[in-house]
Amino acid sequence: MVCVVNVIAGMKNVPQVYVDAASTMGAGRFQVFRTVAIPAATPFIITGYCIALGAAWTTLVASELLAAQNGLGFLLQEGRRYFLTDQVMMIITIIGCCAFIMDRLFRRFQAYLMRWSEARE
Amino acid sequence: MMSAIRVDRLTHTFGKGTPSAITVLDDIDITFESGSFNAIVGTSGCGKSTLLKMMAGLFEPSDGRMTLDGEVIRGTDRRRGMVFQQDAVFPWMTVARNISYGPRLRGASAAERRLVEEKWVDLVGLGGFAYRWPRELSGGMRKRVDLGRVYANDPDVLLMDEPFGALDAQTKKRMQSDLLQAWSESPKTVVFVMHDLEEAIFLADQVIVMSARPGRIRHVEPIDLTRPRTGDMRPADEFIGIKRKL
Repeated sequence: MVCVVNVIAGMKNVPQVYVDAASTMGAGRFQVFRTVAIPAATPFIITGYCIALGAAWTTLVASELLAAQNGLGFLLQEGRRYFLTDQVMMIITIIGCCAFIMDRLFRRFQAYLMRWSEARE
Repeated sequence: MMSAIRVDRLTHTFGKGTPSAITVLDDIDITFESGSFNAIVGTSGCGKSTLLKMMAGLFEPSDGRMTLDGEVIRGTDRRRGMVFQQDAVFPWMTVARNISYGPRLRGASAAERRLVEEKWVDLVGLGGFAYRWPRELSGGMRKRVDLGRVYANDPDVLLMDEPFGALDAQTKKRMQSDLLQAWSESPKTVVFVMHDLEEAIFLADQVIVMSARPGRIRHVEPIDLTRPRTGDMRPADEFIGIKRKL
């Protein structure tokens, strides 16, 4: 949802002059969409994904804490219930590492997609 | 191939039928000969940019019509290329890809694309910058990319909306000379909107002077100065004579 809202905002913010330039060079509607609207909206799309990624993680772990038969959140809850401190600590570390790695990979990808932009990072 | 544009009794009103309606263009009637260089001058707000955008097909006049070689202009078309006042270089493409944008739209092969890129990157004086991003270029260089991109698309008509307005005087003069050079090598019907009369006389075969609110054509002056025109013709008697007359 966050993604969709951001993409729409991004598309609305495409400077008119790019659209005009493309169409006076003979681009059709779909070509304008593909070659102008999508790249121009890339920063917005990326922001959307960033927020969505964070939200997905929180939701995943939280829902597992409440109702799940397996998964990291379930193991965490189990460790808490049976006083398995080592298990709790391990799960926390794993969640942290996963989030960290995903964030790094995402940043790499973002830097690649945005290599043309003045405001990289 | 070159083409003539004919503007026939064109009138345009923004917000027609509402109390705040403004007539920006009133009864414009003019012909731009095939292969000629035309300059439209006038104060800001006289509707010259509007007229140009309509010729490009970006929007339709409320009354009257325009034809290109007898065909009514409707919508945008690659035959009518336009260079804008603002920076319109796509920042997400390298210089080379910007240049070959038009041919790529029509599915040019990699070889054709490279040919176009090599030719026009050099011709607009950006040799060595082909694989740079636009953010690494100066304003003047980006304008060169704009120009090269439109030229590489090979339109019949070139519409220019004060493209050099944001440049310093010296760069502007260089760009104008380069433009004349490119135009003499591959002639197109050019309609150039500007606000400096001297530049208009220097560049054009026909100078159209417009008055504002509502935009009307006040005067059309043919310029018969010999070509190629060079910078030292600017102070010549003939040149100043025309300027005084207008």
